[in-house]
Amino acid sequence: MNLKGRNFLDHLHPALVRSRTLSPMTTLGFGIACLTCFVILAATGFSLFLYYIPDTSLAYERILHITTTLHYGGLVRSLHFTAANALIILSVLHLSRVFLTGAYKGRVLNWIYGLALFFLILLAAFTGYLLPWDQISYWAARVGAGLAESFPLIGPEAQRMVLGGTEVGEETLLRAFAIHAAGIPMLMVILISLHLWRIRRDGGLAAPEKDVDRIPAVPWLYRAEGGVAFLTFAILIVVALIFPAPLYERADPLHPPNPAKAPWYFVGLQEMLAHSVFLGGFVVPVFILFFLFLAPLLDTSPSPGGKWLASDRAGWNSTFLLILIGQTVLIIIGQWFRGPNWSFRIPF
Amino acid sequence: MNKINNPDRRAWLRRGLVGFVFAAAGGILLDVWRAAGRFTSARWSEVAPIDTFATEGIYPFPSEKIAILWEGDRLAALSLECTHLGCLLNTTDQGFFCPCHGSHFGPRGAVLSGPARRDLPWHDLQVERGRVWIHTGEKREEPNWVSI
Amino acid sequence: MNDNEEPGWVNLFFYGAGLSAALALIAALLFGGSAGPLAHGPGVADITINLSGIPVREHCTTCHIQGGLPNVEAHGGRVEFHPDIAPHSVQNLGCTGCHLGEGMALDPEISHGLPGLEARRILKGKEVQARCYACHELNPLPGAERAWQGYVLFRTRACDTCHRISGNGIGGRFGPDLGTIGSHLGLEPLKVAIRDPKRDPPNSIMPRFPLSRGQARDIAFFLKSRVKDPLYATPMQIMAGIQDPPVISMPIPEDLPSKGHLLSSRKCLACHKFGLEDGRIGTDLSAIGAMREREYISVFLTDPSKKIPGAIMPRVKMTAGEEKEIVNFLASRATKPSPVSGANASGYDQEGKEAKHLYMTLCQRCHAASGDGRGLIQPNLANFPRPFAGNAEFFRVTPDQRIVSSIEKGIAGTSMPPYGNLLDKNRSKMLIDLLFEAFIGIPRTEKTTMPPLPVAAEAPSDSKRAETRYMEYCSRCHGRYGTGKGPEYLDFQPRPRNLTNEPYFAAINDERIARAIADGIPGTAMPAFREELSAEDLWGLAALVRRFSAGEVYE
Repeated sequence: MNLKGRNFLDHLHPALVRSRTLSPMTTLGFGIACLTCFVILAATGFSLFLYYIPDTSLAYERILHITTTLHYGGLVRSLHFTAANALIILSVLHLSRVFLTGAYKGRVLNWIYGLALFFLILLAAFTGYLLPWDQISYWAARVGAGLAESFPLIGPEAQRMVLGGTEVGEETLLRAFAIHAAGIPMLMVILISLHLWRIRRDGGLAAPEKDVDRIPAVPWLYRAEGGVAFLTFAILIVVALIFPAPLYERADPLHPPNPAKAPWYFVGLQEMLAHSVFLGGFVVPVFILFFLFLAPLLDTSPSPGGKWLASDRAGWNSTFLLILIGQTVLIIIGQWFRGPNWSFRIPF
Repeated sequence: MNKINNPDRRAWLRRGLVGFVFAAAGGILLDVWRAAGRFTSARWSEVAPIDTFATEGIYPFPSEKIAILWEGDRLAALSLECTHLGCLLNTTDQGFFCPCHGSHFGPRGAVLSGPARRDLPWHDLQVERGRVWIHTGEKREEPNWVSI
Repeated sequence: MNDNEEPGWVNLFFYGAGLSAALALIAALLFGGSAGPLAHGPGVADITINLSGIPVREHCTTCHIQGGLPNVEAHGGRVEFHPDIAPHSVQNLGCTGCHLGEGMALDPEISHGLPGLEARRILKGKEVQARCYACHELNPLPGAERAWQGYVLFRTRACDTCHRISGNGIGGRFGPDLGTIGSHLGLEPLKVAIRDPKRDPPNSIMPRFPLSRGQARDIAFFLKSRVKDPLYATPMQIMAGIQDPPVISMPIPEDLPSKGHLLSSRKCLACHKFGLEDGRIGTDLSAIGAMREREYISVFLTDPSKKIPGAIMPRVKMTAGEEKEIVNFLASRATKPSPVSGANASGYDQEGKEAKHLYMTLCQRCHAASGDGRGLIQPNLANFPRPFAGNAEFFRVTPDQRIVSSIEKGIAGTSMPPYGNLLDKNRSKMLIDLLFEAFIGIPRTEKTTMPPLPVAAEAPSDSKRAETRYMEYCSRCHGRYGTGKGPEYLDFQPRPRNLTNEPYFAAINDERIARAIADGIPGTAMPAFREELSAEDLWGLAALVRRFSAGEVYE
């Protein structure tokens, strides 16, 4: 074991890890990919922070400035946009991996941290979506705020809190910026630290067998993690170069686009709401929330955590997959199969 | 002596103290966070002198996004924001029409045809010193009729 | 620890990923910087112009060096100058004040306005005149002839009967306020909205005015100048405007005639037809004085929807004197249809010719020359004109006496006027014969006998039960409140009947309502409910329709 050059990261890593930890099928690297996205988001976000002004009359011009005039500004913005969307997808995949392998067993606290992080990511994405103050972002915020309204009791209050009033306006932009650029990053850094530290506290990755081969964390674990991080980084840059972050016209509070859609990750909710306000806006979301939070407490199946699709957890896994696939299908329908006035249309 | 004999009580005291400090601080912060609505949209604002309303009918005030309904000897303020996406409604003889997506509301704000699904909400209204005031921002389900 | 089992693939993966990241970064270095304009010019021209106290920042002159065409290779790298615009000066006004566009962008696409509402779409060449009246008062201006023409059209075509374009007092409230429309829409969307108002939303009540492409463009030029923050006003004035919106004086253009009669000066003829003048939107008023009572006309002028619920005609503000004058005018100038010209020439076909002439003068405007009900002004009517062609089934079940009465007495609550005073018995018979012969295609006497209606129950039926049945069977089309605007009403032409149409239902008996529910109405989407409904439900629903039309159920 090489003790030279020990650094802070060694506090998060054990000296020895099971060789299974490095196997690609164990985690698929989603957690590290998420972490990479977060680091990229922090770096690009700070760079954008230097040029952005959260003011309804200036925000859009500043975004234009960043996108077209600033050298590499467009790339930084695109990378921020790409990494944000990637983070949502990757965190869902990460969460799915943990659920489908039953890795939350005996790690309820870390599962809750993870869920909290996931909701922070969604909130960060939603507030960040508004900042360019263009047509799509403005109306997505209005629609998103409307979605919250249908949720009894907490909905209107949360909506008021985020909007800074009852309408999307000056206050909303300022709040979105404060939440997006100060509140959430701070909370996320704390939660990510806890999330990582808990892995070590809980004895590394969940594994079905107890004592098996171990290999030194240095350099193998570091290299495996570094490899995932590099790969994520490379893919994000390429995607950002090929698909620049979109920008539409200035926000016009009087002329909504038809149909006005929520950001894509909330389109599933919008689609459900379009069918039934009570069922889609309250019952199903509450069920999903309870399911996710309570699963590790109620799941008493005997199989140890860390095993993919264990047969005694078939009920849990299939419910989870049903939710996941259901939301994916709803998002696809809402995003691509809905025309003016939310009428069904074939996109091709 | 007391201290030694009652470790429990001390622990509870400590917890209570910490709890109170957090709850009070949190409460204050929460109040600060909620405050924005109070001085932006939710306030009493003057609409028009009462003499403006000569006959029964609907008086739209697009700049305030409301319409004043005069019926018999009473007034109420109806919101002119479409419940679909918040466009400003046109006032026609048959009620209110949304130029954005074509939602139609009856003369009392009941939704006649979509895409809007909810009826128009109402605003609080009061008559002070011969002038009509409405409470913006906060909306209510039922009209608040004010007799004159 | 077992060194023999070193996972060598991790190294491969690590270095491979590291290499791909390095390559991606090189690609980013090469292709991620701003391309385009920056690569050409010496740098970014970043200018701030003071427009009446509002600082406006622009990058336009990076490419348009002296305000002319861009300094790119395609133009031979020449520097072009802005045309002389004295007494204005480019130095003081900058670019985006007149030309719009996104001054802060530096991208050929974004700078010139993204697609969509096109609020900031660049105005080039002659289009710049669309901005003149954003600063100047409404008076003829050299260079802004099209925009001025647009203003004249706006006034003469009665746009201001429904729309208002300034903060105070002028114009109707029937349509959206266009006072700031120029800040929201570009020229192209404006033109589309003027020429094709029913494109979005499809149930817009604005009629399609007969305007040429050029006229629509002129109006768009004028409307584009109605902006939120007119640059001539200082921020202080705008602030003050919140309390008391400044009245933009709207002179009546000299060539706006009060030609002859009040119909013209009150802009009735912007929509209606009278004699030879035709607005091609509303009904023919030439003979209205002979058909409608004075009282009817006078009530209609104050509140059109009292007589024809759902009529799109706005209330036109006028003094009692003016109103009286119009009623008098219409009553006194009522003209009967002129005898058919050249009739009698052969003698042989005279009757047929006369009937055709009558149809073309009186019926064709709504019922169409082809008899399918899609006449010139059909889209603007509250009720769909009864189609004749291809509608034989309807006329098989409609008693002949009802057809005669519809023509002679009109149909209350709709635009169908009583022709009894214009047509004598003989001519109206000729006309009906023509309808059957030319369009309906069955003998006038061919009628289907309908099965009798179930007998009404003695006791009054339960109104709650009828309401439940209504929600179940009728509300999809006729709407919760019977207004004929249910969630699916736009799918049908003719549209579902407005059950709150008081005059219409006052003129028909319960049996006809029940008949329509039981056996449906051929030629419309109204199906027969005889099988689904019991006698009690049927008569309960008929009673509910009565209550709708009496305005009872509505809230």
